[in-house]
Amino acid sequence: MSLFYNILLIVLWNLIVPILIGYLITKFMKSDDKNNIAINFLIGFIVMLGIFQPITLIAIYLKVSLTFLTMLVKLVWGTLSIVSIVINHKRIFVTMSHVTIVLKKFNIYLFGALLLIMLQGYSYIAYEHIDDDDAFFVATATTAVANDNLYVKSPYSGVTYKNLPDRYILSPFSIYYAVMSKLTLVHATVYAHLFLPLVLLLFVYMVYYLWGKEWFQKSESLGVYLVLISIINIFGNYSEFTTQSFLLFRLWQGKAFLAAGILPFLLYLCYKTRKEMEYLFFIALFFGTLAASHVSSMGIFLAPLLIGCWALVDLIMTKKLTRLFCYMLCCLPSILCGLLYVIIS
Amino acid sequence: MQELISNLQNSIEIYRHTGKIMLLLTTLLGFFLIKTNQRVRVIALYVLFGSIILLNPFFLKYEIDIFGENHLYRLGMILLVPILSSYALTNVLLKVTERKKRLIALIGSLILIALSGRFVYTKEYFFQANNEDKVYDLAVDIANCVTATNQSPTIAITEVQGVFIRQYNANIKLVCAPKVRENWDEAEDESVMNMRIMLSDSEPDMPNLTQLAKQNGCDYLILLNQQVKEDNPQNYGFRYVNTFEDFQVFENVQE
Repeated sequence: MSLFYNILLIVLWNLIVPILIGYLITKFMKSDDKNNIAINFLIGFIVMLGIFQPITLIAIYLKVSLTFLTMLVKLVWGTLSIVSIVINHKRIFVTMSHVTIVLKKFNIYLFGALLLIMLQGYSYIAYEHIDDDDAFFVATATTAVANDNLYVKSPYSGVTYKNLPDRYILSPFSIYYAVMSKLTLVHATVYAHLFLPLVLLLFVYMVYYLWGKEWFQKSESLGVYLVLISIINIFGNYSEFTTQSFLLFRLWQGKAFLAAGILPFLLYLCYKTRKEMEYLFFIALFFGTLAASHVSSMGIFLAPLLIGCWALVDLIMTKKLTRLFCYMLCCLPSILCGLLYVIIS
Repeated sequence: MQELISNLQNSIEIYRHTGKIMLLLTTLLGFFLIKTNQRVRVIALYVLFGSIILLNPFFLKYEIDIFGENHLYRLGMILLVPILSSYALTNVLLKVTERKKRLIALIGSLILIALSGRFVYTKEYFFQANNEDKVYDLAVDIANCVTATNQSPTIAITEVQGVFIRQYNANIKLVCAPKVRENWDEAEDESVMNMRIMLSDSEPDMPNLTQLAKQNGCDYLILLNQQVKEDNPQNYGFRYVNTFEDFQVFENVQE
C-alpha cells in the first residue's frame, strides 16, 4: 500500500502536474500541436524546472529550510495545475479521447521502438551504475533532507560549509531531488537513482518523438526513426562522455539530462518558433534556458550557444531583427546566471 | 597555428568521438543529398554553423579558456548528432518503397550500427542492483551497523566508501570526507588533515590515530584489514564491532 501510494505521488508530481502546467501554456497557442499530450508534458516539465530555478536560488540566498521551499513550490505548482484544470478541462478531455486514435496507428516499427525504450527503462530499474559524481549531486539532496536546509552542510562530510560551492550553487538540481523526495515521500537517493531516470527517459523519448513527428507524416516512418535512434543510443558508448552514454548511464545527473533532453528540446522549440511563427514558443524557450541553467552549470553556457547558433541561421533566412531580439530575451536567464557566477566566484 | 590544430586534435582525443564525428559528417552529407524542404534544411544549416563555431581551431582556443580542456567535449552536445543521424538514416531507408525490402534494409542498418558502435550495457558499467538506493551494499551494511544504536554518529573511514555512506544515510557525519576534490569547500582544521593522512596510510600510527579520532569526536573508526595487522584500535579504547568485506568497524567506548 505504501509503495502504491508513493508511486501515485510520483505519477502526480512528475507526470500529471507537468502535463497540466503544459496545458496552461499551450492554451494560448494557435499551433495545431497544442493538444498533443507529449508537447504539453515537455513544456510543463520545462516550466516547472524554470519556475523552480529562481525560487530555489532565492531560497538558498535567504537560507530558508527545505520544508519551506517544498511548501512554496507545492503551492506554486499546485495553483498552476488547478488553474489549468479549471480553464482547460474540456480540452484535456478531448485530448484523452484522442489516445485511442493514436493506438490505432500503432505498427510493428512503433512496437519495436517501444520495446527498446522499455528495455532502457528496465535497465534503470534492475541495474545500477555507480558514479562518483553522485557523492556530490545525490548526497547534496540527502544532506538537505536530513538537515532540512539548503547548501549549509557539505554532502561529503556533513560538516558546515566554509564557502559555498560556487560552480554548483547556481545549478541546484540536487535540491529538486530533495523537494521531490519530500513531495513523493521517497528517499532522495531512491528517487534520484530509480524514479527520476524513468521520468527523464520518458522526457527524452518524447522529445525524439516530437522531432520525428515534425519530420515524418506516416507513423511507420516515425517508428523506423525511433527504432534507429534507440539503437544508436544503445550502441553509442564510444566513450563515457557521449550523449548516449550520459543518457543510459546516469540520466539523473543534470549534465546528462541537459545533453540528452533539454538541449534537443530547446532546439525543437527554436524550430517550432520558426516553422509556425508562434511567439508563445519563445515563452517556453525562456523557461527552457532557465531549466538548462538549473540542471547543470554547463547549461548556463550551452543553452545560449545553441540558441545563438540557431538565431544566426534564423536571421539569415528570415532577416527579421525582432526574432533575433526575442532569442536574445530567451537567453537572459543564462546571462544573469553567468554574471552571478562571475560575481560569486 | 600548429598549437591551435594540436588543441583541436587533443579535444577530439579527449572526447574519443571519432565515430561520432563520422556520424556528424555523414548526417550533414545526408541532409544535403536528401530532397528536403527549406524548413528541414534549416536544421542542416544549424549543424553547419554549430560545427564551424565549435570545431573551428580559431575559436577552440577561447572555448578551452571558458570551458576548460576536460569539459570541452560537452560543446558537441549542442549538435544533437544522434537525432540528426537517425533522421538522415530514416530518410535513406524510406527510399526503399517495398515493405519487405525496407524491413531487411532496416535490420541491416541496425546490425551495422551495432557493429560499428559499442554496447552500453556491459558488466564494466552496470551491476545487478541489490538495494533500492542503488549504492554499494558495503556502504549500506556499514551505515546500518553504525546507526544501530546512535542515529547520527560521527565516523572516520578510509577510502571512497564514505562517498556512498552519505548517499544512503546523510545523518552520518564523516570526520574526513573521502578523497578531496574540486567541490571541497568546508572548514577543516589541522587535526582533521593529519587524520586524513593517517587514514590513507597502509600502516597508520595507531596511538596517534585513535587519539585524533577521540579528539575529533569519532564514534566509530573504520579501517581496512591490512591497516590493523600490526596494531589495533582495541588497544586504545575502541571496541571491535564487525567486519564488512575488507573493512573492520571499531566503536569508541571511551566517551
